[in-house]
Amino acid sequence: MGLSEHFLVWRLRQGDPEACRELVRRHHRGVYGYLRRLGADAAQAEDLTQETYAKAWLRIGTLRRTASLRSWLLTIARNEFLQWVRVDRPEVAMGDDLVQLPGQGPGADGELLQFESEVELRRAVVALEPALQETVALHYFQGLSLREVGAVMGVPAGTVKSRVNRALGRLRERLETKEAKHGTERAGKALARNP
Amino acid sequence: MERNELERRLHEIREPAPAPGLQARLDQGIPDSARRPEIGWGPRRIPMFAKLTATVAMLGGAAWISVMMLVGPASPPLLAAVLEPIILATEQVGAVHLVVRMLGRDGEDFSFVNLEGEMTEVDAWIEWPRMPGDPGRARVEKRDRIRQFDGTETVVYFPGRNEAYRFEASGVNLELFWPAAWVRYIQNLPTPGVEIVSHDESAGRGRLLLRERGADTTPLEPMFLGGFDRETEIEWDLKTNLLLGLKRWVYHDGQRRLFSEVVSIDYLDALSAETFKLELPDEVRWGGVKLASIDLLDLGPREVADGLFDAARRGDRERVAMLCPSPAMVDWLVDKHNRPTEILYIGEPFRAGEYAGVYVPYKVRFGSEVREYNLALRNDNPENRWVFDGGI
Repeated sequence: MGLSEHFLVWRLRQGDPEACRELVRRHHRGVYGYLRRLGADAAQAEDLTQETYAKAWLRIGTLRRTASLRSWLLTIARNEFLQWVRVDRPEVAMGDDLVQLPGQGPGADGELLQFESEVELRRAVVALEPALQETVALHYFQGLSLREVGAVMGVPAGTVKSRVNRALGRLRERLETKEAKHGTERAGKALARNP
Repeated sequence: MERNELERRLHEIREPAPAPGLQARLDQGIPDSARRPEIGWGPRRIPMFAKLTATVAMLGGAAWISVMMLVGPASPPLLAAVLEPIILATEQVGAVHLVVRMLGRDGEDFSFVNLEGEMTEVDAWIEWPRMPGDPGRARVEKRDRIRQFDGTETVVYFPGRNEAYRFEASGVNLELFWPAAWVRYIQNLPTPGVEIVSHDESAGRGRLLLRERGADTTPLEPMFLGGFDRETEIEWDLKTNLLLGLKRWVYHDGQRRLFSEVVSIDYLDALSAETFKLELPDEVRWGGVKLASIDLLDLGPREVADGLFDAARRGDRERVAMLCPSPAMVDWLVDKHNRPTEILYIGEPFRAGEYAGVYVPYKVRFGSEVREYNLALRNDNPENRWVFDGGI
């Protein structure tokens, strides 16, 4: 079992390099993934992750003991991303390449349906408008509380809650439409095989 | 699809992973401890503020005059002469941010000397009252708690048990964390019990080491700072006269043991309102003293201690909750794995140190373990009745 988050914050504030390595180990994937979700490509997301940690080392003295390290890092990452967009004005499209699952895809035949269903869900998330997609990513994929999502995005927790509700509504709508369509197709194919 | 099912599936989704080399690249970017000052957690700066210039100009010459060596029993005029410029300079700042290390354990009072404890860091942001009627503001963070007074109300938060308390008064003794008050306290020490061990002014810094005799606590072992023979060292900047450091040691069994030391002091004009914003988790549990039946109002501290342990032994959650304002502690006390099994001794209440309440010595069996300690009780609540405040 690793250090508790509270104790890790304490050690970070002491300037303990071992605690810094732990901060990297625990959260670099989350930071990178969030930057990809915001629209950075793989190389740019890696660079921005490095920038995020460089800023974190500079600001470690401002870290509060009650702070959630993940939301603190993601707030820095978001600011780094927005700064990059302002200065470099790149073409960014949120989550266009985030539909594919990590890894090699489904293994046994039995996993195929689950695989397809997750790809479908990922497609549905990517189809959400940017603010909703980011809210879903922070709340569900990154595991932040509504209040923490609000802190990262700079909006009240109540706004986050309503965005979550809207996002879930849209996702359900889209998935149910797809399922209905697939159901009709499957029934059609079955009928064609066994007329 | 049900909302719960959709949320479960969303929770399972993972964002794309970076290439394997990223973690190593990030590790390489971690500054080593030798570069601390560049990365924001190093020794704090002592800014020179314009408003201090006049004081420095007036007093700097006096402090620079010579290296004085005052060793021996403290001479009130000489001690006052050395300390007064430090007090004058240090009390002119509007706010401070302190980092202090103290010997102790979680849940203990600041003046309690626990020789079995460890050095624990305390972070304090203090804004001194600016005018009559201004109560000042304070935020004090210790490993186990945050105590904050924003000028209107005090919130105490315990991250370990995710529990908070709120009350409309200042819950922080500002003088405990105000450098000018420390020096004033030393200046006002009764001289018969104080000896100047060394006094040195060189390399831009003044240092004064004092030895104080502890108050007689026989037949009991000393428990609080005032009961120990102790030494105090203060260090100040000879140009600005600002206090730079303070260290205190206690003597026990002939051994000198560090009790507290200042790690850093930031002298500031003011603190931002942001400093006093305490964001608590959504699911925080609020504790507090409940309205009690009449019979509880008349109980003395010893009866409350006995009643608390007895109710916990019987698993009477309702009764425990009336005597203990901490929901997490109530849970713990009535849990069948933790609850007391036998009350062996409840002693006479006593007051000690700076603590606003009383201590009640107890010896209670918890399963196979016998605990012998002091239960802390306080009655500074709207009902003025004694309730649990720590010590288990």
